[in-house]
Amino acid sequence: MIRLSDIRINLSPKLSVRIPDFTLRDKTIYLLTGESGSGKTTFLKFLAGYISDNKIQESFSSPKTALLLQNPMHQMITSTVRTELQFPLIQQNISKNETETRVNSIAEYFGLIPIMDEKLHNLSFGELQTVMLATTLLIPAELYLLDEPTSHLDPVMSHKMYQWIRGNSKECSWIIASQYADEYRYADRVIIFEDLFLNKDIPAHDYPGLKESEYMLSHPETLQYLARFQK
Amino acid sequence: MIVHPFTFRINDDKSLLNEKTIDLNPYRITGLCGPIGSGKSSFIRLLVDYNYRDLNIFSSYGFSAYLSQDLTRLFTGNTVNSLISLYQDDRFEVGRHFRKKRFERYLDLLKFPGQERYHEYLTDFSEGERQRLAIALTAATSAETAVFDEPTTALNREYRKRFYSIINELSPNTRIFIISHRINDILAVCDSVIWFNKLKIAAAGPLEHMIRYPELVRLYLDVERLKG
Repeated sequence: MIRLSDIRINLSPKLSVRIPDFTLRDKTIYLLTGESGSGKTTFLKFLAGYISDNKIQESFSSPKTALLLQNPMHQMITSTVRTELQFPLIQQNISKNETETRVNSIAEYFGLIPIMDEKLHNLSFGELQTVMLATTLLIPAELYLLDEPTSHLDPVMSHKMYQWIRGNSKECSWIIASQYADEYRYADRVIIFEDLFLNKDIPAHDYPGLKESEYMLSHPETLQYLARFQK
Repeated sequence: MIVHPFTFRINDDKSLLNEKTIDLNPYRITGLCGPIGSGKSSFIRLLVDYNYRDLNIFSSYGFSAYLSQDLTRLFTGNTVNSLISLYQDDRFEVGRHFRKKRFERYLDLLKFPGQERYHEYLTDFSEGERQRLAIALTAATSAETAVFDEPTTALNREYRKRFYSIINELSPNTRIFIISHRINDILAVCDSVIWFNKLKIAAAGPLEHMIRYPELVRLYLDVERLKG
């Protein structure tokens, strides 16, 4: 889909994010990991065309992208949950009936039906993140870029998000930034940023290090609980 | 600290409810847990916002240090330097509680970028860097109560461990509330949990008891989901 080679995205005269060599594969789910400040968000914004550099942009043809920003408050456009979900479909000239069907379907999936007519500014941060996630998923795109979409979601909702993505990954690719390493298990590949450098792009099953779930399952309190559960 | 029974009207359609008296005096670090939109942050607003003190929901209201889950308002338009100046300004109450040396020690512990970047606007920092700065600011504010609302969402495990050490350092002198969807945060530092569901305080008690609470188990400790 995209081949990037020796790309340098300048953040300031002294700082730049470097991508030595990266091929974005079709129909692939990537987990994007790395320390805070390592370049993940810059990479996503670059792929989405937010960071314009003619010299770089000419070197590849960008697919149609949908970007979920890290802070849902920065992405609100309309005033209620319903109108926010409708917005990307109306923009695409999707028919009224079809818009209604798609909006209701995703709202039901993410448990948004009870708050459909709530004002966005009355929602909790987690609810708002869920709404913005669902809105982004309604944008027709070839590449979905989700910047820490699970940061304020509870584990059940995070799991649902990945199930939805798994069920809808046949026609597009996904790059999902996360601080939670155990989300690797939902991905096909893992991209690792280190010190503003895309250091690795590896199959998910080769992902190194202690996974979040293993860490959690090794916690004494959790183990005590599990021991009771398994009896 | 005692939490009295209350009904708080959030807006025309929603109210937050607590039906029982909750005695938090045996505890120092309380985790506030529950599904998205269950009322956790609204509950905390009742504690930290001066406008709600007349409701007498809590038995005592000391000065509270508060890390909001949305850092935008605090950070928009500020550089690191201007934010530090703001926290040191004794015209504001926070200025009389802020401890600069402690703040610098926490910044070192959390490996926040060096002073050569302090003149930069906070929009130029990553969310993780902003979150570490906010933790240091909150933890360096000497207060009877400190509230950390989803403080670890952009932190990796190393920084989360460093955050836990800060919490443990604060807890002898400060009552702490932590809101988090990461059960590890709760297991690592909390001695008690208040469980929220559908805008109601559904249960409260010591961690060793609450870790068996069925709704908490379903949301955070589903074995099959954990094992993937």
